[in-house]
Amino acid sequence: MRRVAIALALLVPATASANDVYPTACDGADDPVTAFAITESVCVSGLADLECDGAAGADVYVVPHGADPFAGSAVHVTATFDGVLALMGPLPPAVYDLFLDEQCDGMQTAEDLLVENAFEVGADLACEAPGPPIDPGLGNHATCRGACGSGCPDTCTPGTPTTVCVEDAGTCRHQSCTFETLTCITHDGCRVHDDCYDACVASGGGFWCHRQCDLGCVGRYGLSCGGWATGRGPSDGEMTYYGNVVTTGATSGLCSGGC
Amino acid sequence: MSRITALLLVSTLLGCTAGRTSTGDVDDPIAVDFRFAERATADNDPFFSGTATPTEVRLAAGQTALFEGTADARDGNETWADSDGYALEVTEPTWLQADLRHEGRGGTWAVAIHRSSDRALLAWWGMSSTSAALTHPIEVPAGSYFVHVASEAPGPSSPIPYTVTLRTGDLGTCASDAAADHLEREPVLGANDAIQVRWASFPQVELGRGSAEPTGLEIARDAARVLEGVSGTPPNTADSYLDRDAFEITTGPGVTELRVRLEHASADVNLDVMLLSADGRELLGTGVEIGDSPELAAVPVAPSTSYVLWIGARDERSIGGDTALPLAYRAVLCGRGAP
Repeated sequence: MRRVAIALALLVPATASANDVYPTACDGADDPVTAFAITESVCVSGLADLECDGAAGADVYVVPHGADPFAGSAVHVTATFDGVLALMGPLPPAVYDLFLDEQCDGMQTAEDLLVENAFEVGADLACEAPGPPIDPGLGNHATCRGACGSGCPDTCTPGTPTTVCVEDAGTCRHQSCTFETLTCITHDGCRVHDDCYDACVASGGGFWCHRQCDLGCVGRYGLSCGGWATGRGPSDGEMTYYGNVVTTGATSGLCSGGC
Repeated sequence: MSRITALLLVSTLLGCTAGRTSTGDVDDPIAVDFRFAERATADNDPFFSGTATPTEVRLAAGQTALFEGTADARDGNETWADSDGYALEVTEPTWLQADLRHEGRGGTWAVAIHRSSDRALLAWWGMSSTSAALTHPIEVPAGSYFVHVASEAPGPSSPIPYTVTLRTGDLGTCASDAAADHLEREPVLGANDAIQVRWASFPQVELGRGSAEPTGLEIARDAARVLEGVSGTPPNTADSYLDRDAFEITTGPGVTELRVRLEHASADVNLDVMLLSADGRELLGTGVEIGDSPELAAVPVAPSTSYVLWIGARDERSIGGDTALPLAYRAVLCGRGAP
Protein backbone atom coordinates (compact mmCIF):
# COMPACT_ATOMS: atom_id res chain seq x y z
CA MET A 1 0.00 0.00 0.00
CA ARG A 2 2.80 2.37 0.91
CA ARG A 3 4.52 1.86 -2.42
CA VAL A 4 1.28 2.60 -4.25
CA ALA A 5 0.74 5.79 -2.27
CA ILE A 6 4.22 6.98 -3.00
CA ALA A 7 3.86 6.20 -6.66
CA LEU A 8 0.65 8.24 -6.83
CA ALA A 9 2.36 11.18 -5.15
CA LEU A 10 5.22 10.99 -7.57
CA LEU A 11 2.93 11.11 -10.57
CA VAL A 12 2.74 14.88 -10.14
CA PRO A 13 6.32 16.13 -10.03
CA ALA A 14 7.04 19.66 -9.00
CA THR A 15 7.74 22.19 -11.72
CA ALA A 16 9.67 25.43 -11.43
CA SER A 17 7.77 28.60 -10.46
CA ALA A 18 8.94 31.76 -8.73
CA ASN A 19 10.19 29.65 -5.90
CA ASP A 20 10.64 26.14 -6.94
CA VAL A 21 12.90 23.10 -6.72
CA TYR A 22 12.67 19.73 -8.42
CA PRO A 23 14.97 16.77 -8.90
CA THR A 24 16.83 16.10 -12.15
CA ALA A 25 19.08 13.34 -13.37
CA CYS A 26 22.49 15.05 -13.42
CA ASP A 27 22.69 14.24 -17.12
CA GLY A 28 22.50 17.77 -18.47
CA ALA A 29 18.82 17.55 -19.22
CA ASP A 30 16.56 19.67 -17.08
CA ASP A 31 13.61 17.33 -17.01
CA PRO A 32 12.08 16.47 -13.66
CA VAL A 33 12.90 12.94 -12.53
CA THR A 34 11.10 11.21 -9.73
CA ALA A 35 12.75 7.77 -9.66
CA PHE A 36 16.44 7.05 -9.21
CA ALA A 37 18.57 3.96 -8.97
CA ILE A 38 20.90 3.57 -6.02
CA THR A 39 23.85 3.93 -8.32
CA GLU A 40 22.74 7.34 -9.57
CA SER A 41 23.20 10.85 -8.21
CA VAL A 42 20.43 13.44 -7.72
CA CYS A 43 20.63 16.98 -8.99
CA VAL A 44 18.18 19.80 -8.42
CA SER A 45 16.90 22.58 -10.64
CA GLY A 46 14.54 25.49 -9.95
CA LEU A 47 14.20 29.13 -8.96
CA ALA A 48 14.91 31.06 -5.81
CA ASP A 49 13.67 34.65 -5.81
CA LEU A 50 14.60 35.88 -2.35
CA GLU A 51 17.92 37.20 -1.27
CA CYS A 52 20.23 34.91 0.51
CA ASP A 53 23.60 36.11 1.77
CA GLY A 54 23.35 39.30 -0.27
CA ALA A 55 22.23 37.80 -3.56
CA ALA A 56 19.22 35.97 -4.93
CA GLY A 57 19.52 32.31 -4.02
CA ALA A 58 18.70 29.70 -1.41
CA ASP A 59 19.90 26.59 0.37
CA VAL A 60 18.43 23.30 -0.79
CA TYR A 61 18.22 20.29 1.53
CA VAL A 62 17.52 16.70 0.53
CA VAL A 63 16.18 14.59 3.38
CA PRO A 64 14.30 11.33 3.71
CA HIS A 65 10.60 11.95 3.65
CA GLY A 66 9.29 13.24 6.96
CA ALA A 67 12.69 14.01 8.42
CA ASP A 68 13.68 17.38 9.82
CA PRO A 69 14.30 19.54 6.73
CA PHE A 70 17.63 20.64 8.12
CA ALA A 71 18.77 17.16 8.96
CA GLY A 72 20.69 16.86 5.73
CA SER A 73 23.55 18.93 4.38
CA ALA A 74 22.72 21.98 2.31
CA VAL A 75 23.67 22.79 -1.25
CA HIS A 76 23.65 26.49 -2.09
CA VAL A 77 21.85 27.50 -5.27
CA THR A 78 21.55 30.76 -7.13
CA ALA A 79 18.39 32.47 -8.35
CA THR A 80 18.07 30.18 -11.30
CA PHE A 81 19.72 26.83 -10.95
CA ASP A 82 19.92 23.86 -13.27
CA GLY A 83 21.35 20.47 -12.49
CA VAL A 84 23.05 21.30 -9.23
CA LEU A 85 24.39 18.18 -7.58
CA ALA A 86 22.44 17.65 -4.39
CA LEU A 87 23.00 14.03 -3.48
CA MET A 88 25.93 11.93 -4.66
CA GLY A 89 25.30 8.26 -5.38
CA PRO A 90 25.25 5.53 -4.35
CA LEU A 91 22.00 6.46 -2.68
CA PRO A 92 20.14 4.82 0.19
CA PRO A 93 16.81 3.52 -1.10
CA ALA A 94 14.05 5.78 0.27
CA VAL A 95 11.51 8.44 -0.62
CA TYR A 96 13.00 11.89 -0.26
CA ASP A 97 11.74 15.43 0.35
CA LEU A 98 13.33 18.58 -1.05
CA PHE A 99 13.42 21.68 1.09
CA LEU A 100 14.33 25.12 -0.19
CA ASP A 101 15.40 27.51 2.57
CA GLU A 102 14.83 30.89 0.97
CA GLN A 103 16.65 32.97 3.51
CA CYS A 104 19.43 30.48 4.09
CA ASP A 105 18.79 31.02 7.78
CA GLY A 106 18.33 27.45 8.89
CA MET A 107 14.81 28.17 10.01
CA GLN A 108 11.61 26.89 8.44
CA THR A 109 9.38 29.88 7.56
CA ALA A 110 6.34 30.55 5.40
CA GLU A 111 8.52 31.64 2.48
CA ASP A 112 10.40 28.35 2.42
CA LEU A 113 9.35 25.58 0.10
CA LEU A 114 8.95 21.94 1.16
CA VAL A 115 8.37 19.47 -1.65
CA GLU A 116 7.30 16.27 -0.05
CA ASN A 117 7.82 12.96 -1.84
CA ALA A 118 9.93 14.74 -4.42
CA PHE A 119 11.61 11.57 -5.63
CA GLU A 120 12.25 7.96 -4.76
CA VAL A 121 15.49 6.03 -4.80
CA GLY A 122 14.41 2.51 -5.57
CA ALA A 123 16.15 -0.44 -4.00
CA ASP A 124 18.00 -2.73 -6.35
CA LEU A 125 15.76 -5.32 -7.81
CA ALA A 126 16.56 -8.79 -6.70
CA CYS A 127 18.93 -10.48 -9.12
CA GLU A 128 17.63 -13.96 -9.69
CA ALA A 129 20.17 -16.37 -11.10
CA PRO A 130 18.97 -18.50 -14.01
CA GLY A 131 20.27 -21.65 -12.31
CA PRO A 132 21.58 -23.06 -9.04
CA PRO A 133 23.92 -20.88 -6.99
CA ILE A 134 27.57 -21.74 -6.38
CA ASP A 135 26.98 -21.10 -2.69
CA PRO A 136 23.43 -21.89 -1.62
CA GLY A 137 24.15 -20.66 1.89
CA LEU A 138 23.94 -23.98 3.68
CA GLY A 139 25.09 -24.35 7.24
CA ASN A 140 28.06 -26.48 6.25
CA HIS A 141 29.25 -23.97 3.63
CA ALA A 142 28.83 -26.66 0.99
CA THR A 143 28.93 -25.38 -2.56
CA CYS A 144 28.01 -26.60 -6.06
CA ARG A 145 25.37 -28.98 -4.78
CA GLY A 146 24.85 -31.88 -7.16
CA ALA A 147 28.23 -31.53 -8.81
CA CYS A 148 30.54 -34.51 -8.64
CA GLY A 149 33.33 -33.73 -6.21
CA SER A 150 33.78 -32.07 -2.89
CA GLY A 151 32.16 -28.63 -3.09
CA CYS A 152 33.13 -27.07 -6.41
CA PRO A 153 36.11 -29.27 -7.36
CA ASP A 154 38.96 -28.04 -9.50
CA THR A 155 37.54 -30.01 -12.40
CA CYS A 156 34.79 -27.39 -12.67
CA THR A 157 35.47 -24.77 -15.32
CA PRO A 158 34.69 -21.05 -15.12
CA GLY A 159 32.41 -19.99 -17.93
CA THR A 160 31.46 -16.78 -19.67
CA PRO A 161 29.59 -14.42 -17.34
CA THR A 162 25.84 -14.58 -17.86
CA THR A 163 23.73 -11.41 -17.91
CA VAL A 164 20.02 -11.40 -17.17
CA CYS A 165 17.55 -8.54 -16.95
CA VAL A 166 15.07 -8.35 -14.09
CA GLU A 167 12.19 -5.89 -13.95
CA ASP A 168 9.43 -4.62 -11.72
CA ALA A 169 6.38 -3.66 -13.75
CA GLY A 170 4.81 -2.03 -10.70
CA THR A 171 7.51 0.61 -10.45
CA CYS A 172 8.52 0.43 -14.09
CA ARG A 173 12.14 -0.31 -13.41
CA HIS A 174 14.61 -2.83 -14.68
CA GLN A 175 18.05 -3.96 -13.74
CA SER A 176 20.88 -5.81 -15.43
CA CYS A 177 22.52 -8.59 -13.42
CA THR A 178 25.75 -10.24 -14.56
CA PHE A 179 26.68 -13.50 -12.82
CA GLU A 180 29.99 -15.36 -12.76
CA THR A 181 29.48 -18.98 -13.79
CA LEU A 182 31.06 -22.31 -13.02
CA THR A 183 30.26 -25.49 -14.93
CA CYS A 184 30.78 -28.90 -13.33
CA ILE A 185 29.97 -32.47 -14.22
CA THR A 186 27.07 -34.11 -12.43
CA HIS A 187 25.59 -37.56 -12.02
CA ASP A 188 22.59 -38.97 -10.23
CA GLY A 189 24.97 -40.61 -7.77
CA CYS A 190 26.59 -37.25 -6.98
CA ARG A 191 23.25 -35.49 -6.63
CA VAL A 192 21.87 -38.13 -4.30
CA HIS A 193 25.08 -38.12 -2.27
CA ASP A 194 25.10 -34.33 -1.92
CA ASP A 195 21.45 -34.36 -0.86
CA CYS A 196 22.30 -37.02 1.68
CA TYR A 197 25.20 -34.99 3.10
CA ASP A 198 23.06 -31.85 3.26
CA ALA A 199 20.35 -33.75 5.10
CA CYS A 200 22.98 -34.90 7.59
CA VAL A 201 24.02 -31.32 8.19
CA ALA A 202 20.43 -30.16 8.53
CA SER A 203 19.67 -32.88 11.05
CA GLY A 204 22.97 -32.57 12.91
CA GLY A 205 23.75 -36.12 11.88
CA GLY A 206 27.51 -35.91 12.16
CA PHE A 207 30.19 -38.28 10.97
CA TRP A 208 28.23 -41.50 10.93
CA CYS A 209 25.35 -39.95 9.05
CA HIS A 210 27.81 -38.85 6.37
CA ARG A 211 29.35 -42.31 6.44
CA GLN A 212 25.99 -43.88 5.62
CA CYS A 213 25.76 -41.60 2.59
CA ASP A 214 29.16 -42.88 1.45
CA LEU A 215 28.11 -46.48 1.94
CA GLY A 216 24.92 -45.86 0.00
CA CYS A 217 26.94 -44.57 -2.93
CA VAL A 218 29.37 -47.47 -2.86
CA GLY A 219 26.57 -50.00 -2.83
CA ARG A 220 24.86 -48.37 -5.77
CA TYR A 221 27.81 -47.32 -7.90
CA GLY A 222 30.89 -49.15 -6.59
CA LEU A 223 34.29 -47.73 -7.37
CA SER A 224 32.89 -44.73 -9.18
CA CYS A 225 32.16 -43.03 -5.88
CA GLY A 226 35.87 -42.58 -5.34
CA GLY A 227 36.25 -40.90 -8.70
CA TRP A 228 33.26 -38.71 -8.08
CA ALA A 229 34.74 -37.56 -4.78
CA THR A 230 37.58 -36.02 -6.74
CA GLY A 231 35.36 -34.40 -9.34
CA ARG A 232 35.79 -36.99 -12.07
CA GLY A 233 33.26 -38.91 -14.09
CA PRO A 234 31.33 -40.79 -15.20
CA SER A 235 28.70 -38.12 -15.57
CA ASP A 236 25.17 -37.85 -16.89
CA GLY A 237 25.48 -34.17 -17.71
CA GLU A 238 26.81 -30.82 -16.66
CA MET A 239 25.46 -28.23 -14.28
CA THR A 240 26.18 -24.52 -14.44
CA TYR A 241 26.31 -22.70 -11.14
CA TYR A 242 25.96 -18.96 -10.68
CA GLY A 243 28.09 -16.95 -8.29
CA ASN A 244 28.94 -13.33 -7.60
CA VAL A 245 26.71 -10.84 -9.40
CA VAL A 246 27.46 -7.37 -10.68
CA THR A 247 24.46 -5.12 -11.21
CA THR A 248 23.96 -1.79 -12.88
CA GLY A 249 21.31 -0.85 -10.34
CA ALA A 250 17.65 -0.41 -11.10
CA THR A 251 16.82 2.12 -13.77
CA SER A 252 13.65 3.39 -15.37
CA GLY A 253 11.74 1.35 -17.87
CA LEU A 254 11.21 -2.34 -18.34
CA CYS A 255 13.72 -4.74 -19.87
CA SER A 256 12.00 -4.27 -23.22
CA GLY A 257 12.42 -0.53 -22.93
CA GLY A 258 8.74 0.24 -22.62
CA CYS A 259 6.63 0.78 -19.59
CA MET B 1 50.49 -68.45 -24.38
CA SER B 2 49.68 -70.40 -21.28
CA ARG B 3 47.21 -73.24 -21.29
CA ILE B 4 44.88 -71.24 -19.09
CA THR B 5 45.02 -68.25 -21.35
CA ALA B 6 44.32 -70.34 -24.42
CA LEU B 7 41.39 -71.91 -22.67
CA LEU B 8 40.09 -68.50 -21.69
CA LEU B 9 40.25 -67.16 -25.19
CA VAL B 10 38.57 -70.17 -26.74
CA SER B 11 35.83 -70.11 -24.12
CA THR B 12 35.25 -66.43 -24.57
CA LEU B 13 35.05 -66.64 -28.32
CA LEU B 14 32.59 -69.48 -28.14
CA GLY B 15 30.52 -67.72 -25.49
CA CYS B 16 30.37 -70.74 -23.23
CA THR B 17 27.91 -70.77 -20.38
CA ALA B 18 28.05 -72.27 -16.96
CA GLY B 19 27.89 -75.90 -16.25
CA ARG B 20 29.16 -78.37 -13.73
CA THR B 21 32.69 -79.48 -14.34
CA SER B 22 34.10 -82.62 -12.85
CA THR B 23 36.76 -82.04 -10.27
CA GLY B 24 40.08 -83.74 -10.06
CA ASP B 25 40.43 -84.30 -13.78
CA VAL B 26 44.17 -84.30 -14.54
CA ASP B 27 43.46 -82.60 -17.87
CA ASP B 28 41.57 -79.80 -16.16
CA PRO B 29 44.03 -77.02 -15.29
CA ILE B 30 41.82 -75.79 -12.44
CA ALA B 31 39.73 -78.19 -10.40
CA VAL B 32 36.39 -76.47 -10.15
CA ASP B 33 32.75 -77.34 -9.66
CA PHE B 34 31.41 -74.62 -11.94
CA ARG B 35 32.95 -72.79 -14.83
CA PHE B 36 31.46 -69.78 -16.55
CA ALA B 37 32.91 -67.86 -19.47
CA GLU B 38 31.89 -64.29 -20.19
CA ARG B 39 30.31 -63.81 -23.59
CA ALA B 40 32.34 -61.48 -25.75
CA THR B 41 29.35 -59.22 -26.36
CA ALA B 42 27.99 -59.25 -22.84
CA ASP B 43 27.14 -55.92 -21.22
CA ASN B 44 27.69 -57.04 -17.67
CA ASP B 45 28.72 -53.83 -15.95
CA PRO B 46 26.51 -54.15 -12.87
CA PHE B 47 26.63 -50.46 -11.98
CA PHE B 48 25.92 -48.44 -15.08
CA SER B 49 25.00 -49.87 -18.41
CA GLY B 50 24.03 -53.43 -17.62
CA THR B 51 23.61 -56.06 -14.95
CA ALA B 52 25.72 -58.83 -13.54
CA THR B 53 25.55 -61.78 -15.91
CA PRO B 54 23.43 -64.68 -14.64
CA THR B 55 25.72 -67.69 -14.49
CA GLU B 56 23.66 -70.55 -13.06
CA VAL B 57 26.46 -71.08 -10.56
CA ARG B 58 25.01 -72.47 -7.31
CA LEU B 59 27.73 -72.96 -4.77
CA ALA B 60 27.57 -75.17 -1.71
CA ALA B 61 30.17 -75.01 1.04
CA GLY B 62 33.43 -76.49 -0.16
CA GLN B 63 32.76 -75.94 -3.85
CA THR B 64 34.64 -73.73 -6.25
CA ALA B 65 33.58 -71.71 -9.27
CA LEU B 66 35.75 -70.30 -12.00
CA PHE B 67 34.71 -67.24 -13.99
CA GLU B 68 36.61 -66.48 -17.16
CA GLY B 69 36.45 -63.10 -18.80
CA THR B 70 38.35 -60.42 -20.59
CA ALA B 71 39.05 -56.82 -19.72
CA ASP B 72 38.45 -54.67 -22.74
CA ALA B 73 37.18 -51.19 -23.40
CA ARG B 74 33.52 -52.05 -24.06
CA ASP B 75 32.10 -51.19 -20.64
CA GLY B 76 34.63 -48.49 -19.93
CA ASN B 77 34.11 -45.05 -18.50
CA GLU B 78 36.19 -42.56 -16.52
CA THR B 79 36.22 -44.95 -13.57
CA TRP B 80 37.27 -48.18 -15.14
CA ALA B 81 38.47 -49.66 -18.39
CA ASP B 82 36.09 -52.56 -17.97
CA SER B 83 33.59 -53.65 -15.36
CA ASP B 84 32.23 -57.18 -15.28
CA GLY B 85 29.73 -58.70 -12.88
CA TYR B 86 28.91 -62.39 -12.43
CA ALA B 87 25.76 -63.34 -10.53
CA LEU B 88 25.65 -66.55 -8.54
CA GLU B 89 23.75 -68.33 -5.83
CA VAL B 90 25.10 -69.66 -2.57
CA THR B 91 22.96 -72.54 -1.37
CA GLU B 92 24.05 -72.72 2.27
CA PRO B 93 25.97 -70.59 4.77
CA THR B 94 29.65 -70.58 3.95
CA TRP B 95 32.77 -68.51 3.55
CA LEU B 96 33.42 -66.85 0.21
CA GLN B 97 36.64 -65.52 -1.23
CA ALA B 98 37.37 -64.24 -4.73
CA ASP B 99 40.77 -64.73 -6.34
CA LEU B 100 41.50 -62.68 -9.47
CA ARG B 101 44.32 -63.62 -11.84
CA HIS B 102 45.42 -62.06 -15.12
CA GLU B 103 48.56 -61.48 -17.11
CA GLY B 104 49.62 -58.30 -15.31
CA ARG B 105 48.66 -55.54 -17.72
CA GLY B 106 45.94 -52.93 -17.31
CA GLY B 107 47.08 -50.90 -14.30
CA THR B 108 45.30 -51.51 -11.03
CA TRP B 109 42.53 -54.11 -10.84
CA ALA B 110 39.86 -54.64 -8.23
CA VAL B 111 37.72 -57.59 -7.24
CA ALA B 112 34.80 -57.51 -4.82
CA ILE B 113 31.73 -59.47 -3.74
CA HIS B 114 28.32 -57.80 -3.47
CA ARG B 115 24.96 -58.95 -2.21
CA SER B 116 22.58 -58.90 -5.17
CA SER B 117 19.44 -57.66 -3.43
CA ASP B 118 20.83 -54.26 -2.50
CA ARG B 119 24.29 -54.37 -4.07
CA ALA B 120 25.81 -53.95 -0.63
CA LEU B 121 29.57 -54.39 -0.72
CA LEU B 122 30.31 -57.42 1.45
CA ALA B 123 33.89 -58.23 0.51
CA TRP B 124 35.46 -54.86 -0.18
CA TRP B 125 37.79 -54.35 -3.05
CA GLY B 126 40.95 -56.31 -3.16
CA MET B 127 43.08 -54.07 -5.36
CA SER B 128 46.41 -54.71 -6.96
CA SER B 129 48.62 -53.42 -9.74
CA THR B 130 50.19 -56.85 -10.26
CA SER B 131 48.68 -59.96 -11.81
CA ALA B 132 46.59 -61.10 -8.83
CA ALA B 133 44.14 -59.73 -6.29
CA LEU B 134 42.08 -61.29 -3.52
CA THR B 135 39.06 -60.33 -1.51
CA HIS B 136 39.25 -61.10 2.16
CA PRO B 137 37.03 -64.08 3.04
CA ILE B 138 33.52 -63.28 4.20
CA GLU B 139 30.87 -65.39 5.87
CA VAL B 140 27.60 -65.28 3.98
CA PRO B 141 24.19 -66.87 4.36
CA ALA B 142 22.53 -68.67 1.49
CA GLY B 143 21.46 -66.12 -1.10
CA SER B 144 22.25 -64.25 -4.28
CA TYR B 145 25.54 -62.49 -4.79
CA PHE B 146 27.67 -61.14 -7.57
CA VAL B 147 31.39 -60.91 -8.09
CA HIS B 148 32.63 -57.67 -9.58
CA VAL B 149 35.87 -57.30 -11.51
CA ALA B 150 37.15 -53.96 -12.74
CA SER B 151 40.37 -52.73 -14.26
CA GLU B 152 41.61 -49.20 -14.18
CA ALA B 153 40.95 -46.75 -17.00
CA PRO B 154 42.07 -46.15 -19.68
CA GLY B 155 41.21 -49.32 -21.53
CA PRO B 156 43.94 -51.73 -22.56
CA SER B 157 45.28 -51.68 -26.09
CA SER B 158 44.16 -55.28 -26.44
CA PRO B 159 41.79 -57.44 -24.37
CA ILE B 160 43.27 -58.93 -21.21
CA PRO B 161 41.99 -62.39 -20.26
CA TYR B 162 41.39 -63.01 -16.59
CA THR B 163 39.96 -65.59 -14.24
CA VAL B 164 38.17 -65.21 -10.95
CA THR B 165 38.10 -68.25 -8.71
CA LEU B 166 35.41 -68.17 -6.07
CA ARG B 167 36.24 -70.39 -3.14
CA THR B 168 33.88 -71.49 -0.39
CA GLY B 169 34.07 -73.65 2.71
CA ASP B 170 36.15 -73.09 5.79
CA LEU B 171 38.61 -70.48 4.68
CA GLY B 172 39.76 -69.75 8.19
CA THR B 173 40.11 -66.53 10.07
CA CYS B 174 43.03 -64.38 10.99
CA ALA B 175 43.08 -63.54 14.68
CA SER B 176 45.45 -63.58 17.63
CA ASP B 177 45.34 -62.58 21.27
CA ALA B 178 49.11 -62.75 21.61
CA ALA B 179 51.23 -59.83 22.73
CA ALA B 180 52.70 -57.64 20.03
CA ASP B 181 55.74 -58.95 18.21
CA HIS B 182 56.61 -55.44 17.09
CA LEU B 183 55.80 -52.01 18.51
CA GLU B 184 55.97 -49.08 16.14
CA ARG B 185 59.02 -46.94 16.85
CA GLU B 186 58.59 -43.91 14.55
CA PRO B 187 60.94 -41.57 16.44
CA VAL B 188 59.58 -38.53 14.60
CA LEU B 189 56.09 -38.21 13.14
CA GLY B 190 56.41 -39.03 9.45
CA ALA B 191 59.62 -41.02 9.77
CA ASN B 192 57.90 -44.19 8.57
CA ASP B 193 55.37 -42.67 6.16
CA ALA B 194 57.19 -44.01 3.08
CA ILE B 195 54.19 -44.09 0.72
CA GLN B 196 51.67 -41.53 -0.49
CA VAL B 197 48.26 -42.71 -1.63
CA ARG B 198 45.84 -40.53 -3.54
CA TRP B 199 42.37 -41.86 -4.12
CA ALA B 200 40.31 -41.46 -7.20
CA SER B 201 38.41 -44.58 -8.16
CA PHE B 202 41.59 -46.57 -7.71
CA PRO B 203 44.40 -45.71 -5.30
CA GLN B 204 47.37 -43.98 -6.85
CA VAL B 205 50.53 -45.03 -5.02
CA GLU B 206 53.84 -43.18 -5.02
CA LEU B 207 56.87 -42.93 -2.79
CA GLY B 208 56.70 -40.35 -0.03
CA ARG B 209 58.93 -39.08 2.74
CA GLY B 210 60.51 -41.40 5.27
CA SER B 211 61.04 -45.11 4.89
CA ALA B 212 59.39 -48.31 6.00
CA GLU B 213 60.26 -49.28 9.54
CA PRO B 214 62.24 -52.53 9.89
CA THR B 215 60.37 -55.03 12.05
CA GLY B 216 62.22 -58.29 11.58
CA LEU B 217 58.81 -59.96 11.38
CA GLU B 218 58.57 -63.12 9.31
CA ILE B 219 55.03 -64.31 8.78
CA ALA B 220 55.11 -68.09 8.72
CA ARG B 221 52.56 -70.34 7.12
CA ASP B 222 49.56 -70.98 9.39
CA ALA B 223 50.99 -68.63 12.00
CA ALA B 224 50.15 -65.12 13.15
CA ARG B 225 52.34 -62.20 14.14
CA VAL B 226 51.13 -59.02 15.79
CA LEU B 227 52.22 -55.47 15.18
CA GLU B 228 51.03 -52.46 17.17
CA GLY B 229 51.31 -48.77 16.43
CA VAL B 230 49.70 -45.37 16.71
CA SER B 231 48.22 -43.32 13.92
CA GLY B 232 49.11 -39.74 14.67
CA THR B 233 47.87 -36.30 13.67
CA PRO B 234 50.13 -34.64 11.13
CA PRO B 235 49.35 -30.97 10.50
CA ASN B 236 49.05 -31.34 6.75
CA THR B 237 49.33 -34.05 4.17
CA ALA B 238 49.55 -34.03 0.42
CA ASP B 239 47.39 -37.04 -0.28
CA SER B 240 44.22 -38.75 0.94
CA TYR B 241 45.58 -39.81 4.33
CA LEU B 242 46.70 -38.26 7.57
CA ASP B 243 49.39 -40.24 9.39
CA ARG B 244 50.49 -43.44 7.75
CA ASP B 245 52.93 -46.05 9.02
CA ALA B 246 54.93 -48.41 6.84
CA PHE B 247 56.62 -51.57 8.08
CA GLU B 248 58.99 -54.04 6.50
CA ILE B 249 57.79 -57.62 6.82
CA THR B 250 58.78 -60.92 5.23
CA THR B 251 56.73 -63.95 4.31
CA GLY B 252 57.88 -67.37 5.39
CA PRO B 253 58.41 -70.44 3.21
CA GLY B 254 55.24 -71.72 1.61
CA VAL B 255 53.20 -68.58 2.30
CA THR B 256 51.16 -67.57 -0.74
CA GLU B 257 48.52 -65.45 0.93
CA LEU B 258 48.91 -62.85 3.64
CA ARG B 259 45.89 -61.94 5.71
CA VAL B 260 45.68 -58.75 7.75
CA ARG B 261 43.22 -58.00 10.51
CA LEU B 262 43.61 -54.39 11.58
CA GLU B 263 41.85 -53.54 14.83
CA HIS B 264 41.36 -50.16 16.44
CA ALA B 265 39.07 -48.62 19.01
CA SER B 266 37.61 -45.58 17.36
CA ALA B 267 34.42 -45.19 15.44
CA ASP B 268 35.34 -42.01 13.59
CA VAL B 269 38.75 -42.98 12.22
CA ASN B 270 38.89 -44.91 8.98
CA LEU B 271 42.12 -46.90 8.94
CA ASP B 272 43.11 -48.59 5.70
CA VAL B 273 45.76 -51.21 5.12
CA MET B 274 47.76 -51.92 1.98
CA LEU B 275 50.57 -54.26 1.05
CA LEU B 276 53.23 -53.09 -1.36
CA SER B 277 56.34 -54.51 -2.91
CA ALA B 278 59.54 -54.03 -0.92
CA ASP B 279 60.47 -50.98 -2.99
CA GLY B 280 57.04 -49.46 -2.38
CA ARG B 281 56.26 -49.13 -6.06
CA GLU B 282 53.73 -51.91 -6.63
CA LEU B 283 50.38 -52.23 -4.90
CA LEU B 284 49.67 -55.87 -4.05
CA GLY B 285 46.55 -55.75 -1.95
CA THR B 286 44.19 -53.57 0.03
CA GLY B 287 41.87 -53.43 2.99
CA VAL B 288 39.93 -50.26 2.30
CA GLU B 289 36.50 -50.71 3.78
CA ILE B 290 34.88 -47.47 4.85
CA GLY B 291 33.56 -48.92 8.04
CA ASP B 292 34.42 -49.58 11.61
CA SER B 293 37.13 -51.83 13.05
CA PRO B 294 38.39 -54.34 12.04
CA GLU B 295 39.78 -53.64 8.58
CA LEU B 296 40.44 -56.90 6.75
CA ALA B 297 42.67 -57.69 3.81
CA ALA B 298 43.89 -60.77 1.99
CA VAL B 299 46.81 -60.41 -0.36
CA PRO B 300 48.47 -62.84 -2.77
CA VAL B 301 52.18 -63.02 -1.95
CA ALA B 302 55.24 -65.03 -2.79
CA PRO B 303 56.95 -67.18 -0.16
CA SER B 304 60.09 -65.88 1.54
CA THR B 305 59.72 -62.40 0.13
CA SER B 306 59.91 -58.95 1.72
CA TYR B 307 57.04 -56.49 1.53
CA VAL B 308 55.89 -53.16 2.93
CA LEU B 309 52.82 -53.23 5.13
CA TRP B 310 51.21 -49.78 5.08
CA ILE B 311 48.56 -48.53 7.51
CA GLY B 312 47.00 -45.10 7.03
CA ALA B 313 44.16 -43.00 8.43
CA ARG B 314 41.94 -41.60 5.70
CA ASP B 315 41.59 -37.85 5.92
CA GLU B 316 37.89 -37.52 6.70
CA ARG B 317 37.98 -34.33 8.72
CA SER B 318 35.66 -32.63 6.25
CA ILE B 319 32.78 -34.83 7.40
CA GLY B 320 33.61 -34.64 11.08
CA GLY B 321 35.85 -37.69 11.28
CA ASP B 322 39.32 -38.29 12.71
CA THR B 323 38.54 -36.64 16.04
CA ALA B 324 39.91 -39.70 17.85
CA LEU B 325 43.41 -39.33 16.43
CA PRO B 326 46.03 -40.14 17.63
CA LEU B 327 44.73 -43.69 17.69
CA ALA B 328 46.34 -46.95 18.68
CA TYR B 329 45.93 -49.93 16.37
CA ARG B 330 46.80 -53.61 16.34
CA ALA B 331 47.50 -55.52 13.14
CA VAL B 332 47.37 -59.31 13.14
CA LEU B 333 49.26 -60.78 10.19
CA CYS B 334 48.55 -64.37 9.16
CA GLY B 335 50.38 -66.53 6.66
CA ARG B 336 48.50 -69.02 4.54
CA GLY B 337 49.66 -71.41 1.89
CA ALA B 338 48.14 -73.36 -0.92
CA PRO B 339 46.37 -76.48 0.32
